[in-house]
Amino acid sequence: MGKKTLETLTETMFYTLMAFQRGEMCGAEVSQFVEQKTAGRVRMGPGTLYTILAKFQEEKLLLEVESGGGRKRTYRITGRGRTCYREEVERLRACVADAESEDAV
Amino acid sequence: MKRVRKLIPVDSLDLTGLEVWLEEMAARGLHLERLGRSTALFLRGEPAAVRYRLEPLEGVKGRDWAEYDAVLAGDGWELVADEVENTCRLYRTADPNAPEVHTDPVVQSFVLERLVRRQRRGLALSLVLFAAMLVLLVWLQLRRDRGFVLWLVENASPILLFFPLLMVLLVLDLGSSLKQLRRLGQLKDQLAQGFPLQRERTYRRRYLSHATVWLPNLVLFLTFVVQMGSAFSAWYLPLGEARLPFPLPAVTELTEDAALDETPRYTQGFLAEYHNGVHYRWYPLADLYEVDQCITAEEGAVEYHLAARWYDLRLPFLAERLTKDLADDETEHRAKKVTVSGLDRTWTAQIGQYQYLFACAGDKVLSLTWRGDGGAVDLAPIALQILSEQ
Repeated sequence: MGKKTLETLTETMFYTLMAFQRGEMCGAEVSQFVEQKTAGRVRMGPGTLYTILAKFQEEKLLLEVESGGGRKRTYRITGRGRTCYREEVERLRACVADAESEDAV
Repeated sequence: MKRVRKLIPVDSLDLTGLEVWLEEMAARGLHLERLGRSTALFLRGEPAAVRYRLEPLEGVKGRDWAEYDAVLAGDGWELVADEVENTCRLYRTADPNAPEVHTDPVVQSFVLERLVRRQRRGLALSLVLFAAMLVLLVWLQLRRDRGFVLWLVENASPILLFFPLLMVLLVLDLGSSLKQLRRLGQLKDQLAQGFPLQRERTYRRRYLSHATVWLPNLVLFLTFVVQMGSAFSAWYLPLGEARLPFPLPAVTELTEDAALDETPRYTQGFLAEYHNGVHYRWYPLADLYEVDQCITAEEGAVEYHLAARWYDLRLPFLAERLTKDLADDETEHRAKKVTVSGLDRTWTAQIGQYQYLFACAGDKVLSLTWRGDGGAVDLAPIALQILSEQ
């Protein structure tokens, strides 16, 4: 069985991509961003965070920009990552719009 | 502090099962110190609520484990083992507030995806090797030039005795691996659909897995012991010094050659071992005495040679087939079946100057070869005397 590529993003994956809209970040900064942004609603365990970072690298949504020398690995979002993020935002907007239109009925 | 060693009762790929078992041990005051392939070493201490988590090593490419360990340590997770069964790293925490390692089941399924793929490849390879081994054995069996029972008794008996058991264990092991892999695949699929792990307080006992790991080793060890036993119990003695369990006439009794000087054909060098001496070999299926007499007359110009192979079989039903195999092997299928009163089965042949007789009676099998430049002898009465005195 071949490797399965990402089809939809989970909440933690979505917020991770969102974090990189601000620029380059290391794992700890992503975790901090997500916790602050969601006011603690979304908490990423270290296993989840580092699996997402590695998976996104594998899928070429993120690129490692600095590592080694005792410093933490830092990543930046790629063009493909931005597209993936925008598509997800559009999909969520459409979901919310559908929900609101249904509420109005 | 007291140390306790325990057999791991969980399947090697039952990741949550192993975590749950280790947590149960901690609740009983046994804190993991070292995890082996089949056993775990614990330090006895105070009972505690400890969480254990296994993280597959090949989760996703490019993970920086040093950074990962540091982050987990910051959250209260201690690295206990960096290679469990060559597949996982093991962490634990006694801090109830330490965040869970994985909080997103879909993301966790990525970690298992690669592990499942690797295990599938490993299992496929094992199946191919198993099939190749079977094919090889069948091929070896088909191209074997000795009769099966003769080969079984003299060549391959230690391995063959345990071989069926070994094959059964290998099949069981492959079956168990297949089952474990299917469960791991189901777990990965469940996570990929967004259902978090259910840490049930039960786990499947894996005594079969233990058996399939240890028993083949035991079987191979026993095979080795039997092989060594066979090698070390063998002996050689010159004809006059050996005590035979059957009566064998001397060559001088079989010929009336006036010129016979009773000089052994070979008394020096390595050939001396094969002439005028007795070789004894123990096999799991039989005791074998090989006796060789070779003397000359007229200053070596005339040779008299009597060779006997005497088998005391532990499985009497093999006697007839062994006799036939010996006859086919030594005469290249030229021996003819004859009837000799007092012997169960007899085959004889005359090829050039050599006379052959192969016979069995009860659990004893005899092969006689005679070469006498001075003339032929009747081997049947000799065989009858040897085999009827048992």
